[in-house]
This record gives sequence, C-alpha cells and structure tokens, in this order.
Amino acid sequence: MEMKLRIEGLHKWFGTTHALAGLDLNVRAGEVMGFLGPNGSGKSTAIRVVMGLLRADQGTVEVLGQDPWRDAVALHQQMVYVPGDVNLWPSLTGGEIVDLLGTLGPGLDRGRRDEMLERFDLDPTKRARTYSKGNRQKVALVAALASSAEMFIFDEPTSGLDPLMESVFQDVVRELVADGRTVLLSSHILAEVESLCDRVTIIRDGAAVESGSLEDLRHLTHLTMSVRTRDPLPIDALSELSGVAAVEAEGTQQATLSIERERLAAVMEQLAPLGLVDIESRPPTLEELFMRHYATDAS
Amino acid sequence: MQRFAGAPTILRLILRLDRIKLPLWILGLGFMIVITPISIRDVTETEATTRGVAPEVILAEQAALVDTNAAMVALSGPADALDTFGGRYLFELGAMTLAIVALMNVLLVARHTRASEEAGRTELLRSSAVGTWAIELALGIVVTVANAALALIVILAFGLDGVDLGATSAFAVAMALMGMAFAALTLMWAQVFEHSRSSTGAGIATIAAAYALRAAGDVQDGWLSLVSPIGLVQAVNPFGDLSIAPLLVLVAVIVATLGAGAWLAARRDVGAGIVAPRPGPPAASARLVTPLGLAWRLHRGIVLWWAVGVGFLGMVYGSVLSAVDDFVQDNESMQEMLEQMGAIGDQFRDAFLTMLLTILGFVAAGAVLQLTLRPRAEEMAGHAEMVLAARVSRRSWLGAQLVIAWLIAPVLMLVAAVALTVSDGLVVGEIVEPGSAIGAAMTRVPALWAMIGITTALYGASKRLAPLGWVVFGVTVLFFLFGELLRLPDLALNLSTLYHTNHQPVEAQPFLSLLTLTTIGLVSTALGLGLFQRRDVA
Repeated sequence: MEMKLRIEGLHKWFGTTHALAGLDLNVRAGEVMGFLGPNGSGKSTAIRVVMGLLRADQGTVEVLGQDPWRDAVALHQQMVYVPGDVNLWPSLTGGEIVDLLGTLGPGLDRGRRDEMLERFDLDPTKRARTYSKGNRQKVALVAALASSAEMFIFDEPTSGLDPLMESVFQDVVRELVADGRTVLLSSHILAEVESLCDRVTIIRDGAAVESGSLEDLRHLTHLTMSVRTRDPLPIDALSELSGVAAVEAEGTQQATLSIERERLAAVMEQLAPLGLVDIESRPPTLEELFMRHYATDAS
Repeated sequence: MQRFAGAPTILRLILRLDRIKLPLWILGLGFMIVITPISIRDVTETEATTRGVAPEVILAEQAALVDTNAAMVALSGPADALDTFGGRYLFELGAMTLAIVALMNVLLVARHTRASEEAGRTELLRSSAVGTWAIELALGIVVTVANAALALIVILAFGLDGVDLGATSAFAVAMALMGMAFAALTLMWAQVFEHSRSSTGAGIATIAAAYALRAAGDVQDGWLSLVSPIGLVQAVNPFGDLSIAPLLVLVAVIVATLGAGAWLAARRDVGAGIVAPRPGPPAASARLVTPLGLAWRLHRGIVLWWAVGVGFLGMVYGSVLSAVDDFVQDNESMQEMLEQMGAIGDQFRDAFLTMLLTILGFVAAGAVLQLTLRPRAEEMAGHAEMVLAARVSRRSWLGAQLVIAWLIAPVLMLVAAVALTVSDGLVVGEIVEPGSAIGAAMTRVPALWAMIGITTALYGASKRLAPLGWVVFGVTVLFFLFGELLRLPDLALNLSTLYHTNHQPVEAQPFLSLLTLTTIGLVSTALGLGLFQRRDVA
C-alpha cells in the first residue's frame, strides 16, 4: 500500500512543553484519514509540521515522498491546507482571496472555482471583514477544493459551517476520494468522521493512542453490555473483576457493563448463576470510543 | 420620555468604557492649551527685558514676520490681533489644535454609535428596555461635558495668564460649539454608512475639508473660512474685532445636522446604513496573486498615509526655514546652537536645514520600521501561515515585503524634501537651489536601510525579538537629540544611525559612513532572511 504521509516517532518541543511525544501517523493513498484527539493534544502542531511551517525536533516526516521542511515549496504544488482558524485579510474580497490562495497554491481550476463558489453559496464580492466565521471558512475551503492538489489537509474545517454546508463539504470530499486524492481530516464532529473516514488515528498528549479502521477499533476494544438478572447484581464485586472497565447500575437487577472482549467468557461465567433474564451486547458507539480515549484517566 | 428610557444607564456605560481614553484626550489637549501661554509669555518677556523694550514691541515684530508668511497663515489661521498676548496664543494653538479637538469628538461619537452597532453591541442594548434615542442622548451629554471641560481649561489657562476673560470665554465657547458640531456631523455620518471604518473615515475627511477650506480662505482673506467650523471659531477674533455671529452659525450647524441625523435614523434599521457597502471585485487581478503584489496591496495604505504625513511635515518645516536668519540675528543662544551644529558665517539656513532633514529622517525611519514589522503582524494574525502553506517560499514571502520597505525609504525622504523645498519656495517667492535639500535628504537613506536590516535580522531570529527594532529607533532618536546634552561617549553616539548622516547640506557627508550603513543594511537583511528559513512559523 502506497503511503502518502508517513510520520514516525515525531517529537516537537515548545520551550519546555512537549507538544508531540513520539507521534506515529500513516495515511494511505486515496483514503480519508480521520485525525482525532482532545483540545491541546497536538493535532494542529502535527499538521503544521506536515505543512513545513514547524520544524520536527526528532523523528521522520515524509509527505508524498518528500521532506516537508526542506522541500516545502515543491510539496505545496501538490497539497493544500485549510487551517482551523481561518484569518483573512480584512480589506480583500472573498473572490480575491480565493484567487490569491488558489494561484499561489497548486493551481486554480477556474470552472471548478465558480462551481465551488456556487455550491458553498459564497458571495465573492464581499470584503473579508464583513464575513461571518462560517463564511471565512468557506473562502479557505473554496480555495482549497478548487485546486488540483493531490493531497488535502483539513484542520477542523467545518466547525463554523451550518449543517447544509457541512453536507456539501462531505459530498465534495467524497468526490475527491473517488478521484483518487488523499485527505487528512482533523475534526471533532463525530458524524462527519463516521461518514467520511476510512481509518482514524486518535492522538492524546502528543502521541497516537489508537489507530485503525473504525470497524477494527470498535471490535478491538470494549463491548458494551446491558444485563438484567433475576437475583440482585453484586455491583461492587463485578467492578473488581479483571476485564470489566465500568459498571453502571440501574436498580439492583439491571446494569450496563463495559467489558474487554477477551474477558467476555469469564464475565459471563460470573453472571450466569444470577439467572440472566435479558442480555444485550453491542460494539461501543464512536462517542464512547472517544470518551474513553479523551478522558484524562482512561487506559 | 419612552424614547429616552435607559439613558442614565447608558451614560454610565459610556463613561465606564471611556474611563481612560476620554480623560487622556482631555488631559493631552489640556496640556497643549496650558503650555501655550506659559511658554510664549516667558520667552517674550525674557527677550523684552534683555533688550529693554515692552513685550508688545517684541510681539509686534514677530507679527510682522507672520503677516507676510502665507504658509504659516495656511497652517495656523488668520494673523489676527497678533500684537496682543491673547491673539498670539490663539495663533500658536492654531487650526491644528482645533482640528485635534474635532478629532476627539469624531472618534468619541464614532466608537459609541456605528462601531458599537457594527459589533452587534447596540442590538444587545436596543433589545432591552432602551429607548430609540437613549444612546444619542447619553452620548450628547458626554460630548457636551468633554467639550465644556476643554473650554474651562482654556478659560483657566488664559485667565491665570492675565488676558481678557471675556474675550477668552468667547473663544472657549466657540471651540466647544465647534467640537459639538463635529460630534453632530459624525452622528449623521453614522446613519449613512454601514461600516464604522467608513463613518469614522467620513468624519475625519470632514475635519480635513474644514481645515483645508479655512486654509484657503485665510490665505486669500475670503469667505471660504466661514463655511468651515474651524474657520468660524477663528472668525470670532476675540482679541481683535470681537464678533458673536460665528457662535450663532455654529449653533445653527449643530441643530441642522442633528435634525438631518434624526431624519436619516428614522429611515433605517438597526445594523443597516443609508449607503450600502460597495461590493468589491469578485476575482483577483493578475497583479495581486504574486508575493510582491500581495505585499504592496497590504501595505500601500500605510505607505500612502506616511507619505502624506512626511509631506505635510516637510511643508511645515519649509514654511519656517526662511525665517531662520531673522530669528537668529537677534538670538545669541540660537546662534550658538547652530554654530555647534557646524554653521559658519551666514550658513544658518543650511545648518537649520541639516537638522530638519535629520528630523524628517526620524519620521521616515518610523515609517520604514512599521513596514519592516508588518511581516511579524501578518504572522501573528495567521495570514503568513496561509501563504506559506501555498507554494510560496519563505524567502519570497518575507523578501517581497522587505523590498517595499527598502524602496519606500528613499521615496519618503524624497517626498519630504520636495515638500520642504516647494513650501520654502512659496514663502521666499522663488525656489532656492532645489537640488541641495533633495540630495541632502538622500544621504539619510542608508541610515534607514541599516535600521530595516537590523530589525529584519531580529525578526528572522524570532518574532518575539522583532519589536526590539524600536529600541534601535529609540537609540537613534534619543542619542542624537540628547547625546551631547547628556555628555554621552562617542561610542554611544555612534549607535545612532542617523547621527552618521547628519552632515549635508552644511558640510560634506563622509562616503565611508554611507557605505558602512548600506553594508550593515544589506548584510543584516540577508542574515534575517537566512534565519527566517530556519525557524518555526506560527
């Protein structure tokens, strides 16, 4: 499998702050990689290293087979970036900024530019100072999406967009992927990640804590199981069992348990004598997956 | 009373928001007003005592100089009653002080009307129990109090000095009414434009127009001064031929503009203007989409305003240049000072010009430093990130902006020198050696380049170090102005870049210093570009 982006053991310090602590991240050709993590976990720092704006202190970073620090300009002919905080020049119009960023970037397709302006419903004659947050984001998105780049890097691109525009964004990203382009998408919007991403990497405290397809992640991790029994459940004893991450009691005879998959049989043995009345097991939702990784005391 | 509901609360809000700004304005203007009688009376009476004549004789002598000087009249106002202390004070304060009073009022009204409305704060207020005119009423009270305070300062300062109180009061009231007239005008502009920059801009343009109209009127003794609120204040002529009619005209202007503002306000929604903002170009021109094109587009406004500024200052200096010989003839301390600066025999004019050009160099240095620090502002605002993430190298992004700073240095010096030469020519009646001031101004340029270079090197090393460029500027200005007074060693004086170019036209400029300064500029600029390649951009 061809790798478009390869990060191995990346470290970055800001003074005494260890912003990236041995990050690994791989993005394959033609996929959408979701890049997730709590605020301040180092997502934007990693993306800025990939864009050649920050220098890696340690580790390997290879984008499209090149070094983003040394070959920044050559690389930027093939990749575009939409920052999380889009700051535009207040006195320029949206249309001027789209053209400016597009022309200075990997090259602007005029027809596609007009199509994107239309799909994102953006008035190009307004000065940037009059745009709302969502419209500023649209300017940067139109400039990026109208380009002929091979790789797209989005840092929380839809945080200010309305649901309609967000769905336009998702449609356009799907078209890009269908066309063989590669996308790295940092996002907090779980529905967006679920519908767009083939694989996700979850980062915390500057290092990847989980990486793989959503399907794998769900199955590799805990099961959520709701049980109802005839006899009262020994809640305290259950939560002490090895392999049980969390127990949430609902009355005396009903509880929701989070169980490691490989300990399932052992837990079931404990539950069987209590007279199981009902049992429901499902893989964790994306929310639960994230909550577990985002919470400071998860592991 | 429904329409004014909530006004007391809003009044307290305005006073809370402006608790630092407004007192600073009043204190600053108050200082200008208070210092005028003190300085003039002291200088005049000292000279009168040494020469054993009445102070009024000195005033009359100086008045004769001003009368024939169209440039000074254009800058300051009509040469009325200059043989009295009161008249002289008003002339010293001049149209410029009145324009600054007007500016205080324009900015005060603009920030509490359109700027607040644009930011969405007015919406928040108006959706609570606040009447339609409550904000305007509260603001009117603040404006009245601020202008009354300035009027009171004038009366106290002049009164303590001993000039006629009645005449002083007439002027003070006229000045306060003028301030309120500009406040009312800005209130009207705030209804017209949707964006605060446009309405503030319209207010400032009104001041500029008022200033220019009275300048034209005063020079030709014409009626143009009487259509300008600033000219109307000066037409009161309290220490000469006192006239009350201008006060009535100012009151009429206030009433009429308030009426017009109210009429316009009733015809628009909260947040909207009468004039819709103009849409801009939907696409970028081919010139914009290059690093140099972008840099020019972003910095041209600053360049233009600085050019206007140094041009204006050049005109001011040019207007007094020819008067130097007359002043110096009777003034021994001035002669000594100029001789220290290298004036020999009748070279006073050249010695004075040398100093003026170096001072203009300070101003141009401020301009080029601001331009040199623009990349830092662009980086802090998150704009650099967007451009550097495109296929623009760091060298061309920073280099393009520095090219502008390097080229603007000679342009600003040229503008200043030409303005000075032309203005001097207007006063004298012929242009004296046009090449000499311009050529001399150009010898200051390498000192500016050196400052650009040092600041660039600091910025290249770290964006946090870049503001130290202002320290270089401070050292250049302060060591030059006070170095000899403080008996600083030569080594310290040599740190002042413009000290090395303070030679022409009074004496020859050593070529070696020009070469050294230019080399410092080039080498440190290159160093800065190199260091910038090596650091994080964020």
